Amino acid sequence: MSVPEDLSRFLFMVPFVAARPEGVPVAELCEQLSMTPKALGKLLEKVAMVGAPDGGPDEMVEIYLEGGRVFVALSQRFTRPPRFSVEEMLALLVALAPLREGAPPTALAVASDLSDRLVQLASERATELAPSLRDHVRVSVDAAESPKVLRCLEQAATERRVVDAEYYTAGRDAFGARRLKVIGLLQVRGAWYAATDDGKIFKVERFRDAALTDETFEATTLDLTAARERLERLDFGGAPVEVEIDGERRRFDSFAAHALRRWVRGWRGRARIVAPEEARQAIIEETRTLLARYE
Amino acid sequence: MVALAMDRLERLLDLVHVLQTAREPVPLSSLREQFADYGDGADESIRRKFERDKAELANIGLVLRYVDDDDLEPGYLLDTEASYLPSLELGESERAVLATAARAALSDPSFPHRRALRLALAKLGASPDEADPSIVISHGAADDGDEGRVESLGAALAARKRVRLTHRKPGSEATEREVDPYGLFLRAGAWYLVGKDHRSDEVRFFRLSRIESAEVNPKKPGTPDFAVPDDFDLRPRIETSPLHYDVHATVTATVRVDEDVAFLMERAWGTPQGGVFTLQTENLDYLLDQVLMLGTRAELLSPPEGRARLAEALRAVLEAQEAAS
Repeated sequence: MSVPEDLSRFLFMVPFVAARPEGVPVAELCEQLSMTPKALGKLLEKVAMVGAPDGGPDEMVEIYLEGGRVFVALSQRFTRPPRFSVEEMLALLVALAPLREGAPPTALAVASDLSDRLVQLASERATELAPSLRDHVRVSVDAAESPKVLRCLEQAATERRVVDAEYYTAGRDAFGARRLKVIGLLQVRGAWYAATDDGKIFKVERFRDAALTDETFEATTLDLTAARERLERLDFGGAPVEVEIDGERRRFDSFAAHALRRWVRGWRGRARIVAPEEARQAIIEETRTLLARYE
Repeated sequence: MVALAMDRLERLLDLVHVLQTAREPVPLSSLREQFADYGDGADESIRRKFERDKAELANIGLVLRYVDDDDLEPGYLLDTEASYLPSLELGESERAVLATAARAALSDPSFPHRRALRLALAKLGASPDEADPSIVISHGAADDGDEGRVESLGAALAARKRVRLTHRKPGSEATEREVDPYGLFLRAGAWYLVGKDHRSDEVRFFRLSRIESAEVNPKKPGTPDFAVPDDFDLRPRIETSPLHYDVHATVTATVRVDEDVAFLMERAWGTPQGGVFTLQTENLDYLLDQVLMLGTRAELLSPPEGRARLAEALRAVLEAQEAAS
């Protein structure tokens, strides 16, 4: 551990622990300070004598470990943690960037105001750098979604109101009306998705329109973890397929038929469908139709 | 008075303690009496040592001021208002948004300064567990090896230090470049560095997963190596559609798209007239990719060169699929 890191940890730890006379469990402190119990023990040994070099014991900070908890008996004037360092400010601003730059309207407004408030809490050094850091470290979002649709879906999830939508299903190349119970919104790799209470996921940019109805619903689940995991592994539903790309075979557990053809076409001859055979035949047929338009 | 040699961490903490509890400015001569580490040595070398400590404390947020008041002997004090966090009450929605953002960042191994983020959240009394359950963000699986590079390049960016990169494009030899980092951005799960490349004398983008090594100039760590030009703006660069990447002179293209799915392209291509989009591009190949993605739902009407290239691409697709027959 570096000296600056340990300094920051000590200066946070003393006022934080002092505010809790019952002590703070080692595990809780270790998580906040990103350190192991052993490293925390070493740090506490090192800082056991902080105070004026020529001062008496009652002028020292008294911090100690007992029964798996950390206590502060004397905090001296270490009553507040330091303002945000450059790294802390950078981490906060970059973390908030996806919400500040392209979120549903309510979340966007909160993230934007919060970023401004946090900058007010930066140290002098971080204040000098914060504007340029905010401008020069960014998280790019697609912003391909209609703001009107995003606003509607956000409100639908918050108020548990049913939505009437016009949606294009890319996997089936089908366009149609949908009645959706949206439980939440997910942003994965810069694109927004709506999750519904029947476990389905809809890419927000494919909504042509969406309107709130007066009908409300009780959500059966609020857990978006499964939806996030499916999006992260690019699982949009469909059959298992095997594809060869640049001579290398790859298997996908599920790939919707239309999406597969679109994706393979994008490789312009560097990818071919190995299985299933009907998918290969389908792309051959579709490609011939397309080619006829250009020859 | 006997002054014992000290551990650096202990010295810095003691220095903070002394300068925040002092009622009057503390001259360096007095610090030299109290701190063994400032005791022995030439005045200039002790002053440099003290200045290094002062800079170290400034980096973590603490401000030592030199106070030269007519009535008092000049010396140093810790500016507690400038150093310590004022109280901040976060509203429920602010806590939820912060937690949502933090949860995504902390679960992404490539995210820069995750330890600092945890500490910042702790300072605010906030926790990722307070996230709004109806909004989830995921930055997506990061490229291999991004972890750590974002942090070191972010530090170089903040300190305005030049970096020496070994960069390899797929299928190419690695090249060494001196780069002034101007910005970092995350797009679709991959981190990119943008900076002035001294080899080409141009501002270039580098995908971090293609950077094999990055060495930050170790000389004069506290002194910037360059200034970011005033007119440099990262936002338009990362928001520029690939349709307008400077690949060739501007060409006008027309694309017919089925009416029911035309809305999918309106944000990128504008408004269609009679089912036909007319747009300009400096990167026709990217437009062809978009048309190919739309499959039977779209047809490139012009330019003829684009139609010929699409035919060529489709023949390649067909040959690849038929090769297995």
